[in-house]
Amino acid sequence: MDAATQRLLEEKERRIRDAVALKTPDRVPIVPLGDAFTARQAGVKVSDFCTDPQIAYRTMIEVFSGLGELDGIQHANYNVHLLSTIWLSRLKIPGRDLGENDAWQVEEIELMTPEDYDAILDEGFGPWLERYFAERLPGTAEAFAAFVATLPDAFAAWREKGIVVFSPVLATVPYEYFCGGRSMQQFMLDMHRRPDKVQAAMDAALPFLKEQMRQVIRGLSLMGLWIGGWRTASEFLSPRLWERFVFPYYKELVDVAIEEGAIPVLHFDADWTRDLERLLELPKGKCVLSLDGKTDIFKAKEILGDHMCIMGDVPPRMLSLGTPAEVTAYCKRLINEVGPGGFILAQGCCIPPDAKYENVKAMIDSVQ
Amino acid sequence: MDLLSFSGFLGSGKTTLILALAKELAARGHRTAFIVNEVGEVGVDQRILRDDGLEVYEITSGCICCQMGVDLVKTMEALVREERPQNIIIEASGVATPDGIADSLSYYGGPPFASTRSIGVLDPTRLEALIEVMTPLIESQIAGVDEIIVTKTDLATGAEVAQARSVAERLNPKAALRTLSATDPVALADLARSLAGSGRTS
Repeated sequence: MDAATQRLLEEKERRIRDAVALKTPDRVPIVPLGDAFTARQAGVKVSDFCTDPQIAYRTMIEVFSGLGELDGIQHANYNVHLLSTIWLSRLKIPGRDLGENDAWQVEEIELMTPEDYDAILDEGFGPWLERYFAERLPGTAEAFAAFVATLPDAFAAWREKGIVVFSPVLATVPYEYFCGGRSMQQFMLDMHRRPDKVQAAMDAALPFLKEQMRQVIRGLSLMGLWIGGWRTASEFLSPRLWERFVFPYYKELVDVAIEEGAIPVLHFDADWTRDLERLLELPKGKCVLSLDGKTDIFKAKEILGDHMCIMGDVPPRMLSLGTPAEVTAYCKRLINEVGPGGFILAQGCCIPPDAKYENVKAMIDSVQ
Repeated sequence: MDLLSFSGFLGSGKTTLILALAKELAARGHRTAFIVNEVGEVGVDQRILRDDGLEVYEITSGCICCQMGVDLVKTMEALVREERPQNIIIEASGVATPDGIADSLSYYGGPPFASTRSIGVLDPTRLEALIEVMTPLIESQIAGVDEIIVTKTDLATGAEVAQARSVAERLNPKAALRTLSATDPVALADLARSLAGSGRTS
């Protein structure tokens, strides 16, 4: 890497770290995320993109490098099997189960049984998980290992382009694993019918997940990582159950990430507005709350603005169906009202596959 | 052109109800299109439905937040342009809310609908458990809809149906309320008659 690129990377990393530390950088950093969008823009088959990690990261770099001056990228690479590793679910994969340019799908069926809670308690979560993948999701562990093996090269390739790799790995709480494996419908009933068993299995899983996260942070020298929340959102769950099955587990994961010197990016999809105040219990100036357009980001700023960096939240629908003028106007509002300090501009969730190129460019250019 | 949108948690019986209703509407000569999640609660055999005069459109929901609203709007615009149905029935994802559907439809750029009607579906057989666990979602799926249908009356006890009615009346006292079984042809015919052209004028 030449000296100019190195200096550029340091400048961008400082800008992002300042935002996380609730300072006001020289300008608001822009750190997007997009996967199938880049395949469509580059004319790469989605089926190839989502199953071949070499193709995936090269495609992402090619498209994002042409879109403007990014400070960082959230994920450096993509592979569809990642979804099985956090939701314990089967997938419908383009080119195999779907058309080669269709969007991949998580198949929400009951793959994990109520007896698996006991198996987790008997065997330990790690051995149980290994057996689960081998028996019920064959090929997942191998695909995941192949994906992980490409990460060092992918990180280096992004850095060569002067783009900071911000949060390229994801972790989540036991709830998300079980909810995906059992199917949301059955898991909700489990929390009613056998709450103690569910909690015992969660408590058995958490130490494994914490240790796994610790080793990944160390092994890949991560600046940050996603700690994701999807079906754990406040909009789905009663407060009493959210307090019992959701929040304590996030707190523990966040603490481990911070202990290891990584920035926890709370990638919280859906609506978390009800419980924003609880996030004040997480360490000040150390985390990022990344919102997808459904949580009220302006309310989040009001409650958490002095406590936690906020990231987001250009709505995916706006990127697909809106105009560049709409995107620019919304980004300016975010920069002025949620920023300029303690704020990172990004899309909500992920840039959708059919987002308009000019809309994504408008978002990226709006920080200049 | 009339728009009917159905919301209700996974397993509430939406798909079964909608398919029965759509067939009833098609039998009455209404050109009806049904937009369903690709990964629906019940397998949908499109060929059979097309033979019954019902067009079925699948939307993807790989990531509920990123893509579903976009696919819904694009699918609606395409089918309105190409098929010009008299009725469009949307089956929302089991975790979607009427507000979320309305938000997505704010991007719809096709011809206006003569009327729109939102329907919330409640499954009385599991309501006691789900309302305890998922209070906010169940409430959002029922509050604000124009009509609430308590389904599965053939499977539920009288007490369960009474409880579901009570919950519906508490959460949304203004909504029309009916109870039925999707296997009862008389009730379905009555529902089809009631819903065809009964929505709010947009």
